[in-house]
Amino acid sequence: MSFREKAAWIAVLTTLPVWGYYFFSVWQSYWALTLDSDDVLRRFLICMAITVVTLLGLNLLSAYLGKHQFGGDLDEAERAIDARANAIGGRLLEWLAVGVAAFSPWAATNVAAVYADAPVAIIGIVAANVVLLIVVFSQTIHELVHIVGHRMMN
Amino acid sequence: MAAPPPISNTIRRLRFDADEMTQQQLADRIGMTRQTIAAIEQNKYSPSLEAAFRIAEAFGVEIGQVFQWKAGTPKD
Repeated sequence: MSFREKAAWIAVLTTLPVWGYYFFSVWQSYWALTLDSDDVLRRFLICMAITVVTLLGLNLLSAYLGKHQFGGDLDEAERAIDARANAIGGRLLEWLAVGVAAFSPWAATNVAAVYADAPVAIIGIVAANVVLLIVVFSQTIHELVHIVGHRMMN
Repeated sequence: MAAPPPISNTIRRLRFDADEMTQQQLADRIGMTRQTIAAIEQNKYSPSLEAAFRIAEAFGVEIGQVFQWKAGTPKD
């Protein structure tokens, strides 16, 4: 397995549990009417720290054990897979952003109805998390395209 | 996945003739990963023209001795 494919597996297997937990917990707090900006920020920072440390640690370990050059140049086949992943991930992000923009008035109205006492603050938190969600989702798809591309070559 | 290109290659035999050169050794010589060399060898990836020339150069042969167009195969 190439270093880049291992990196993609590490990214997917780290992102799914960590950010899956994060978004699930934010979603739960929202419906329990306990959404709090400080709490969300704390959870975000913890998840981000876990992600960075895990990705860096596992990639360094993978490079060391596999005798790969960490951050080395991609060869032409890897560049082709990377270009395809960027195209798919980028296009997905564009469409999801359009979808979020289209649904934002409806979502803001609903948030304001649920959180009548502090609608602006909660709308801000929800909007930030929706943007984060589509970025994480499209990045995960990007890494999955990498994995599929490498698997198809094997 | 797209159908494999109508190109065959003799990289495995050329490696054998070159004192059982490993895929990793060939990869290191031409600046590719071992996985890409394996994919080329199995006809799962078509290298660029430059990479094809580099492979031929690594074995000291003409490019036609490494890659062969399967004559008569209709193009898509």
